[in-house]
Amino acid sequence: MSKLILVIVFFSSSIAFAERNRGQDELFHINFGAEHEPGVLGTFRVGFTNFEMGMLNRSLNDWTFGIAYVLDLTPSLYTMIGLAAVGDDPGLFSAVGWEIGFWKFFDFRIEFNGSASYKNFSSGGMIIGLNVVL
Amino acid sequence: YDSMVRFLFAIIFLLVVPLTVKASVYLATGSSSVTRGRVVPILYGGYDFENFGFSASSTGVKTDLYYSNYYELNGYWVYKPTDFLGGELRSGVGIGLQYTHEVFRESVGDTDYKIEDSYQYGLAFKIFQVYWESFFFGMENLFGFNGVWGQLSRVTIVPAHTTKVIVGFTF
Repeated sequence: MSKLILVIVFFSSSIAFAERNRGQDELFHINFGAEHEPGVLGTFRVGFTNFEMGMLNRSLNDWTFGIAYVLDLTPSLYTMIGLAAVGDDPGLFSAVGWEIGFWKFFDFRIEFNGSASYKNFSSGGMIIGLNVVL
Repeated sequence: YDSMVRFLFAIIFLLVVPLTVKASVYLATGSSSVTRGRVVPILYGGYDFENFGFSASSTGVKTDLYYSNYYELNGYWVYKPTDFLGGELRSGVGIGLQYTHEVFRESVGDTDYKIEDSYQYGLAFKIFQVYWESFFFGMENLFGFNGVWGQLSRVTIVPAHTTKVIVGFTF
């Protein structure tokens, strides 16, 4: 039992302190992930340096498209702010997330995001996904 | 209205404290997704020390059939500002609590009111774009994890979240 706990602690600590691949040498990255319902594409973004654009999140039938800036707070924690079209209306997008490199050029992401239009329609939630660093 | 008076006193307190210590104060308005679909102004006050900050906000609506009040309090670890697009980005990540008080009745003549109080608590974050160290706009979000557990039973992974878009002054 104690060995099992040691293995879990070792495994989880190695993940917790792993740095992401994005932003080290490569410039391009593609991010996608599930939101709301597992298996349904919740986001799809193409990134260049610290900018990402594409479908930022979705809420049922409302998709948020836009461009956002990624501000890296720590080697694994980041936050985002951007301009977006929430459904048919212009608005803002923001997010905070945790991103770690777990294998070669793959980063694992957990992100919480929200977007709102000037008419106060909003969407967002939690995303679990991958970031492929090219 | 007593709760609104107490909230205003809290805002005044927030304004007085920075006279004694170094900190940034945020005063703003905007809209919150608690009144999704309608732009109802919110009252927002925030306060950043060097490494820690907090904010309080409130809004509400009233009709002949119901009224509702929303109060939110968030605490943050504040990160170092970063230059961006001619201004600076200020961000914070932490935890928050939202309290909702709703009172409603079936018809206008009905004296039988139903009262519902509810809480959301969980991850909170903010990100502001500040210009000239005095004007800012940005967003603040709260993700209620108590909502997650309820949603998980329906095999989804959506936390109940509140998104605020705010515009205001900082000094």
